[in-house]
Amino acid sequence: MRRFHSVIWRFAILVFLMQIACVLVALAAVHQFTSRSMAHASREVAVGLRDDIAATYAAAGSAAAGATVRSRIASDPSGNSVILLLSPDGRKIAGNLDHWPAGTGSSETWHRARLVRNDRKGRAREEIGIVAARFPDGARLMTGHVVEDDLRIGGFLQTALIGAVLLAVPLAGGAAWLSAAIIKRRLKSVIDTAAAVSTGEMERRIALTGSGDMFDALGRAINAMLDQITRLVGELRLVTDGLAHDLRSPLTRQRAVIESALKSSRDENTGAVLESVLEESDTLLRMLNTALVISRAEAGIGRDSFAAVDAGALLRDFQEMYGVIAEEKGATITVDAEPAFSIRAQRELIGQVLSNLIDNALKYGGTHIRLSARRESGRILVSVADNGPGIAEDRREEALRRFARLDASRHIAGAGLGLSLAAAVARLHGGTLVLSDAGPGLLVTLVLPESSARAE
Amino acid sequence: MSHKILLVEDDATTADYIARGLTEEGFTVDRASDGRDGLFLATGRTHDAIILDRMLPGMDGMAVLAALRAAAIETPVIILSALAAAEDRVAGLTTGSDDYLAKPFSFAELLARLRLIIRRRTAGPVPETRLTCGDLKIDLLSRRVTRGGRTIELQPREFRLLDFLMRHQGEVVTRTMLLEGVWDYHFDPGTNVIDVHISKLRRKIDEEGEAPLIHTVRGAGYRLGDQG
Repeated sequence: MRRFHSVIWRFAILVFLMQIACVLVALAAVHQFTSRSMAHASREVAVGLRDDIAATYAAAGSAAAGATVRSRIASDPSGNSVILLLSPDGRKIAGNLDHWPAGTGSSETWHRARLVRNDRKGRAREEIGIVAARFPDGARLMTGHVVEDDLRIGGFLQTALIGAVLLAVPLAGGAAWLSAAIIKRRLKSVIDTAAAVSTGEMERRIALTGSGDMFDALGRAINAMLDQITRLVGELRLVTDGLAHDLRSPLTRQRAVIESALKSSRDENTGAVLESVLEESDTLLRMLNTALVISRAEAGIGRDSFAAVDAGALLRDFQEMYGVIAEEKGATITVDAEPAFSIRAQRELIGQVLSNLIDNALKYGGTHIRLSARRESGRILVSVADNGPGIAEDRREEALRRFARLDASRHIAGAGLGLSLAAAVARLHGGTLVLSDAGPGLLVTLVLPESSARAE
Repeated sequence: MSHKILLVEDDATTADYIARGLTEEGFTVDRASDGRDGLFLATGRTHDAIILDRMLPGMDGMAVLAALRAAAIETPVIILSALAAAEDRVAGLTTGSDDYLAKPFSFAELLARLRLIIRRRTAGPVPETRLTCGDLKIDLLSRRVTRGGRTIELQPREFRLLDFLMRHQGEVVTRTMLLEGVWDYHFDPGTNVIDVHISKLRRKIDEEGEAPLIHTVRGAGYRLGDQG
């Protein structure tokens, strides 16, 4: 669940960052564009003024140009124009600047300078954008435009943009949180349903909102898959039940015939033979039964009959049951179970598994068998360990296969279904079966989820 | 008095075999080969017990059982079933059957279980404090076991095993019946685990020179009794 959360929150953070990035890019573009176009407008005015006066100078001489300069300054409605016309010998012909500003060349391209106009009261320095030109006879012209207002507007704009960014942060955060919450809510119903189904509630389906969006499509696809699985499980149940019926009826008849033959036989030899035939037919039946139990467990059939089982009592039952056989073989069985804890399980199946595992351990030469049940880091471990020859690591997977028996043990009777039954039962209980080294010997552990625990 | 048994089983060979065996044992047997006939015969309430196959043509065994119990017909029922899984067993027992036997079964097992449910219904539970078999006596209150003059020390499980055998003395008890009655597990242990428990008990009960009380019944199980 934590993983799932972190993915959603990472997604939310991504949404947040992308929204903020969009806002920043958009605002930066607006800022750039407005400041440029304002600068451009002032420059157009200054350049236009320069070109006009230059044209007059070229056409009608310096007196006409000086008159143009004066009239332009007088007629400037905004009062933002700055002009200075100097004669070739450096005298001022006309203009509202007293002298050519220091550090400014005679043919400058657009740049800004802080200058003082002589027709203004207070004679404060103003930020002015200027261009200049030099005529062939050495006369110089400077025109400019006061950009103080532009700068002021730029400042307002900057403040407004920062405000917009600050406002965008909580809004983007809210949007990210909202989208994460929506995804979480929609996914949660999918996850809840899947979890319920995997613990055996085969009838659960994802509730659809009918909106036809991707989540609905996902839900519909999963529901269709669940329908198919339910149908297959149902079919499997029919097949295994049918198989059980079809094979067991002839076996019942066979057993009946053998039994009545055994009853009527007076000959000791025939009796012994019939008895071993009966034993073999029982072995066959046992294999059939176990194979069916495995199939049914694999199909998840039987989860509805789970009940609380006292783990310690269960292990002690089998310690006692098999203790007598162990004693005969000179072996011992010990139990190590946490007190007062029970697992949610099918007692019969877990019992059958333990019986098989202990039986195997005794068969394959263990002299000390340890049964244990304990809780460990959120899981329940029920294990059977022996000190026999064990199973080499590369053979363990093979040992779990149905009807698989490892060569070394082929001479010992048994159906070879014990470990695969244990694995199937572990899966039925939502867990796994782990084979490991008991050093020396085999350690078989049923790893069951904590949800199968019931504190008493 | 001869007990009357209703046998509802669609497989003719199995039905013949059960009917013949029961007749030999002195029972009177009525037969039905499908669920409807079985239900019809059972509603007459003249039977001491019903042996009911679970998978029947027409009307399935569980439906027959449910119909009987709904009609307040309390005749004891043993379900015969090819379904041996634990939850099938539980389902069978909760629907109102008195016992549940998986196919294939031994006749001795069916007979033993049949006698048990008939006796349970007719006699009812009589609280007993003492059980005897020949010169073997057990006191259920003090948990004392004696044979002749000697006291026999038994482990708790051995005591339960002997108790179970004593309550079914003269009858054959099978290994699965013992596993059910003494250990309360219903799977087939598949090894000689019960045999080892019995032989351990036998060593304590039947000492040298004494007439053996625990007998092995070939192909079926065990019988406790003072007659060979």
